[in-house]
Amino acid sequence: MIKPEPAHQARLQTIQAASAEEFKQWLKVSDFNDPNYIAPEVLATLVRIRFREAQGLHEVAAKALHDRVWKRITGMIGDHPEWIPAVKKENQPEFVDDAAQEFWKEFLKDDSEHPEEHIFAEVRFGPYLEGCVKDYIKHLYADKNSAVADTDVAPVEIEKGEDGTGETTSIIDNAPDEQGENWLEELLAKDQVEVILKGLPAKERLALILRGKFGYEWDIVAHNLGVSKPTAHKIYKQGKERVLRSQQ
Amino acid sequence: MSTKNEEVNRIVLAFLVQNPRPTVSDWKALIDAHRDFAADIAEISLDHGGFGAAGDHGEPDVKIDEDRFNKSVSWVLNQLHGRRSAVLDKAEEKISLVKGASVRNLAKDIGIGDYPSLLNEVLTGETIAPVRILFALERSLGIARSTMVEVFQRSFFALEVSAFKASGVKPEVRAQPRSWAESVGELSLPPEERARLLDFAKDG
Repeated sequence: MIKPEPAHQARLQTIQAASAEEFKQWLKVSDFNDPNYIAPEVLATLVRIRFREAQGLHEVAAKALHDRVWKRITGMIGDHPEWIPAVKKENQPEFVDDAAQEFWKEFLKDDSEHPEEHIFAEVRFGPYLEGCVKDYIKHLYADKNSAVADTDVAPVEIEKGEDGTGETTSIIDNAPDEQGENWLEELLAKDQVEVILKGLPAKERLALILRGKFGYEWDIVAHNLGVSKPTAHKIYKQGKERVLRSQQ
Repeated sequence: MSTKNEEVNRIVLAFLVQNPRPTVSDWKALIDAHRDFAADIAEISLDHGGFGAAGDHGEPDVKIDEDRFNKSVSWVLNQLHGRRSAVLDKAEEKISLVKGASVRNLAKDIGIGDYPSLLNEVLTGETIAPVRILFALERSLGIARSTMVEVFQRSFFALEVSAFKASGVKPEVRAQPRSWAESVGELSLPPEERARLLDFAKDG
């Protein structure tokens, strides 16, 4: 069962305790970095649970979510040149409108089919919406008996490997890692870093986060990995190499 | 009583309510304060602050066709008006089944103990449930916390007001649910039991 992010749950908790006026003010915030911003995943949940329907806030949330859907689809067109033929088949407003409808049909279908669990739109809104647009494009071409456009985006390939928890290593490669973590800092500025780190074996990922991002001492890293210090070094090094290879 | 995951979630939730956009230093301070959960917190931090946030960068600044958008909003609202919320219906159904002996058992299961009336007030929306109680109910009933809060709020506003027959005093109708502390305060309890129950609300 997929789970929403703690940050989104925390935001829901704040919203459900807030006044209607506060909620409406927060909806005006479009800057992602503003602490009052309401993520579309949160709006999706508010629509699902008919948030304060008697006060009309459910409709307010639905309108705000629809606004996000329109803007994001419009923004996505520029990022997906492979969609342009489909966009030109319609005119752009019609394409956006129809793709947005596809989103809502999928959303309402998922809502009714999964009454006891969270749906993907509540957890990863961007990929969910993108998937809906791709489905719409496929329908569009299928309806017109034409070739289906290749709308798939190549996924980031992460080489899966062993966890590397063996205790046989005696290598403590102090030199490169003690020089600083610039390689990780540079990587962390890139959008794909979350995908890359999440694709690593669990222990390598944890070693990179604890050591590479938070800079913890090796004994703390080793303790949390449940291995000796030399093995923690080895796991970290394997993770680092795997990340760097994925960037080549 | 609570599982490790539940405890970590509670800690991170309380942290994120206070720090909606945590920095790397904020995360490090949280880990330092909860070293036993360092690995779990570090894993969760991957999605927040400094690592990008799930690939989400907010709303693009684009122009949209206002006329067409406004028409499409009507279509969306019509779609929503035409159907019930499956997730809400299911949650209401599950909560409505918690009656009588099952309230007593559930109160014990989630740590409230021999005070089923307190749980009953939470389930009817008369008392606002602390976060720790919501976590425990989520685990026991299998209903998301946000959905439960909505069900409780609806339940409170649907409560029938009892007939008022006393003379000489004015009737009082409560417009908002009671806080957990108020409801605990109204019970006749030994000090240690009162303190134990009030402790549920220490994280909000």
